Amino acid sequence: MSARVLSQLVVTGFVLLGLLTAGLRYQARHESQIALEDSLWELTYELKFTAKEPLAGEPDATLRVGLPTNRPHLEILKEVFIHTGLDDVLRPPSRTTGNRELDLTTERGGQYDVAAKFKLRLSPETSWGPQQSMESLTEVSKARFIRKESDFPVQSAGVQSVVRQFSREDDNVAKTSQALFEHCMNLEVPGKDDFGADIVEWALANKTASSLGKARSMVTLCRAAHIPARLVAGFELRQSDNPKPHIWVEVFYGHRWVPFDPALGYARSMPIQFISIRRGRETVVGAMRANEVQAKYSIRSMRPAPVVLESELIPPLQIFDLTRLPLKMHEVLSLMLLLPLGALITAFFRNVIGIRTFGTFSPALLAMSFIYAAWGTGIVILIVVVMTGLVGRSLLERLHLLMVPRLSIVLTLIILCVAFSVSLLDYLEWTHSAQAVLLPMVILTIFIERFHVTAEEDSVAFALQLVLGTTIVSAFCYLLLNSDKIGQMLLVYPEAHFFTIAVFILIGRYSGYRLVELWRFRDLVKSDKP
Amino acid sequence: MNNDSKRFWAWPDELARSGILGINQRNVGVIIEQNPRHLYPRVDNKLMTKEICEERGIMVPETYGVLHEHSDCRRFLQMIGDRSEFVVKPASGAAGRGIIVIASRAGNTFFTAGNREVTWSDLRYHLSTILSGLYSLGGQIDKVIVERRIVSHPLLMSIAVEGTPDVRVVIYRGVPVMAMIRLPTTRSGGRANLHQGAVAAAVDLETGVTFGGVCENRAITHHPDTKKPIAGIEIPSWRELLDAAMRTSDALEMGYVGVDFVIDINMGPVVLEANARPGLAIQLAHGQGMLPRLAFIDSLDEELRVGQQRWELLPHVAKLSATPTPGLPSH
Repeated sequence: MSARVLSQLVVTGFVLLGLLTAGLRYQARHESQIALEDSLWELTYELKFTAKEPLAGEPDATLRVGLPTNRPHLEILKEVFIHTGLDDVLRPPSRTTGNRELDLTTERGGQYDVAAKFKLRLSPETSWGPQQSMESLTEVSKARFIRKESDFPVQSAGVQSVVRQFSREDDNVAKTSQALFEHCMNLEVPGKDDFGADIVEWALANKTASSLGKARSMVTLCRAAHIPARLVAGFELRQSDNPKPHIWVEVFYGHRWVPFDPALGYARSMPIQFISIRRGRETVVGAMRANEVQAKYSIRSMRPAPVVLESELIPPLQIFDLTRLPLKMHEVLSLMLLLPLGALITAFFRNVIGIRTFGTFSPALLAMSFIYAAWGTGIVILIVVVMTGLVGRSLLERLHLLMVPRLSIVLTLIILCVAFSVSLLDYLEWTHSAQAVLLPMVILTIFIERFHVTAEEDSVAFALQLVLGTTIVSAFCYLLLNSDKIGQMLLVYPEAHFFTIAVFILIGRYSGYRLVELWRFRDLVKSDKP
Repeated sequence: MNNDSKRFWAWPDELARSGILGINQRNVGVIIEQNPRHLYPRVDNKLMTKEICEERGIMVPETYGVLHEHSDCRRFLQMIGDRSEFVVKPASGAAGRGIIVIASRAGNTFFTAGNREVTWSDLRYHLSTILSGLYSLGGQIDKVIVERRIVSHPLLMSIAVEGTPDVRVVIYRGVPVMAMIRLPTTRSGGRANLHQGAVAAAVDLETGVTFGGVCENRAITHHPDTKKPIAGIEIPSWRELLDAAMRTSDALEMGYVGVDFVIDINMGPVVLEANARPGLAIQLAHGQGMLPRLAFIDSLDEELRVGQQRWELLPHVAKLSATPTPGLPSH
């Protein structure tokens, strides 16, 4: 097998390995994260009604029960219906409202009991991020949502005058609906005797409305302003023995329905614990030819899945997750994990661009020292180190010393100078602590040894050229290593370095021209064009 | 070729169409394929190169002696006897580093070819720096070779300054691909190293006559110091040199080598060293890329690439340059 094919295989292998481990762990983490934040709820309906005796030519008595629907934040885990003597038909979700409803019909009169139980999971995080599905309204449905209804006296004088006050010609839907929302929200809370607080005309005239009255008022006002609007009946999920359905409003913005809750003050989005049951209605249960409909609901918070309670236990795969290590080790570990990326930058600059540096890790180490020292101090140290080295070298040349002792003297001189300049910086209070310059000093000292060996072996000019190259590359490493986000990401997913290895192999097999060669060989291009 | 082009770069596809071998392709596609790692000591250690050449009867500079450790430095004066001309060089040096050429002496004071004075103390210091590995690859402990000074052919000396011009032949799978003569300049400090500012001119493989020219990555026609034209020079003993080059590459068993020669006034072409990673500036000297020639050699059958048949190939190789639509050879 040729080296090329083999390295392609290895690259693919590493990428797959990285995808596999990171993917598995991402999913595991994500699931446990979700399970931690999720909550389980039990919603119960207890319904009673009396069906009318059947009449020829009349439809059968029917109870229409609104059911919760799967939504981005809501999942229905289980649903159970208990009833006797009733025919049940699960209606498909309506095209205009998306409502899921259960029709219970009977041909015999009498009293009936119905119970329904839903197990629901509420997830703050949706697996695919927030979804906003686009909708469009047909002319027919649009007409349906701006028309006058018994509860929505669109054409009444009181309604029209409020609309004229708030809706201007040049306002868009958002502005108008916000203005109408504010008006309804700020209606006074009714007293005990205010029996008209649910009625729109009364509420607007007396500037007093119940929750239902506010919602109805907003729908009416929106419709009067030719904005499609509807009521939504639903529940707020919280522990409660006898919750009342909550009613809010949805306004059509031209491409989607936007919720407003004039009773509680939510605008444009509802908290996720508000689950809608029936849109376009103000009750959860509707009845035809049935009397004495009584509905009692209850919502209970349920015990979470066992996984959640055991989430402190570490599954074997999470051994890769380094964030579980003591916090003190994080900084060092994340710097360590960033080093291969620094080497990647160096390799890229060398083999693809053509900028040479001292060694492979030097630019990354240099960048690291600058991070520790703050770049101002780092540059001062760098200049001191290079200058002392150059001066010391020329002074020592006459002594005819062997290389290792001579280099050692240069290094000692450098360390002295750096130590003094650090002390000076500290004296002048330019730097926070001497601690901050210790690591940079050690790294720079190693760096300077390479500089002087190159200067000896080759020439000072070439060594300076390498210094320049190293500085440029370490500037890029600095930008990378300085990023907390990447370091944090690598602590969580160190196996991302499988990809790094794959990229290294790709760079290692890269046989195209280096960027500097485009300049170097520019004279060799045959001019086929005149 | 646009000698006076004002452009600052070429597009990659333009380079590929001109058949330029880039450094990555050289490393990945040529060197790794052709030069087995374990054979590198044969070229990296000049003592070994010399031994291999001597076994095959290829001319190398006569060795006066080898210093193995610091205590050998004391024997040095005894070793050179009353010779006033010799060369001191590290066995594992690269790119001409650490080489001192002594051209004359007065007692224990020596003078380099550039007439710089080197006292015995200076020289002994230099010997110990070589031994401690300053010039060797990776700073390993090194040896010092003391050998005969090659007196370059006067024809070549007339166009160079200070140092000795050398001829490099790049050989691919046993067949010479390109050749160039490298002329030291004042800038290069007498070293025939293109990175340090030496001048190079291409040598026609068939005739041994120079053409083209390059200095500091730009095309030139005249030597910057002597102002003499560098094209049209006929390299003395050219066939002999090529023959030695081919036999050296056969002996080294490496598929991609540069063999460096100096042409001695008496001995003719002498192998100085071989290089397993010859640079790419030779393409600049030619004003053309190397890839078409490599591709041609790759297309040949094994038996055409050995022995005396190779002479038949040279006229053809020498004329090969990028055709308008060549495909890149895949190695």
